[in-house]
Amino acid sequence: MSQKEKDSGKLACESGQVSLPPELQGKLGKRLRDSYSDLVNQPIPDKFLVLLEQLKSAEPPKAEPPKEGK
Amino acid sequence: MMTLPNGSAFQQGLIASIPNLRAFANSLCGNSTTADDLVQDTLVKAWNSSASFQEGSNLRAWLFTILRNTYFSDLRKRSREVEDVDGALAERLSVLPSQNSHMDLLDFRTAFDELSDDQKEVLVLVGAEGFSYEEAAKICGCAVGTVKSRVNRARGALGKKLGLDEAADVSEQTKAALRLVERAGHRST
Repeated sequence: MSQKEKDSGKLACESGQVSLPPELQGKLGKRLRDSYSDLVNQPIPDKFLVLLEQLKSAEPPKAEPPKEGK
Repeated sequence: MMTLPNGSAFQQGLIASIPNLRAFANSLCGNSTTADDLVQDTLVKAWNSSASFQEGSNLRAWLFTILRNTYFSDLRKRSREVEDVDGALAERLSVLPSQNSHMDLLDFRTAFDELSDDQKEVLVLVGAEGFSYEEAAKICGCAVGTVKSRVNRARGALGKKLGLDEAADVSEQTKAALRLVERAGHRST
């Protein structure tokens, strides 16, 4: 699988698309992960836990959702 | 009321995925209010269609699929309505990274926000979440080759925006040098 990815990575480079030198790709990748981990590390607001509790008490999962009239 | 053990495992899985869902939603929307609405919709949909989740498969990938499908279908709906540009801009400005807030990352966020949704999506999936190209293609409902070319284009665009594209600088210098040579050539004839 990793070999496959390497091969297709080569293909992507050969297909004439803009591709950055590995060093710059590494720099960009690090910034992307740093920026993203800032977002991931934010605490979960209570509203989501409340929502899941509400869903749980309304109906257990794996059941058909109730047919509500719209 | 007693709940099924499966049910609470599923619930725990959803809770564990919330930080990543919020990060993915924030990356796509660029503002936290819309992002949280999107995560909320995703959780409700996931709960109501939990029967279609195959136990043992990747819950996060399944949730990401629901989130991005919801995002793009909302976007299509919204594009038919009038957009509150000022409101969206104000909200965008209010979202700042909590740590790592040095210039590099602020620049990165700005450059990232300017990418197309297709590019943001694949960059996050492959570059930040660590999904394989195959998994990302499945989540996005497109071909593996499409994911690869989007990632490449996104990297190229980011590199250019951030001035990291030294190759481009070199080629600009080369062009400038060629222009000089050309001019010199014209003068001598």
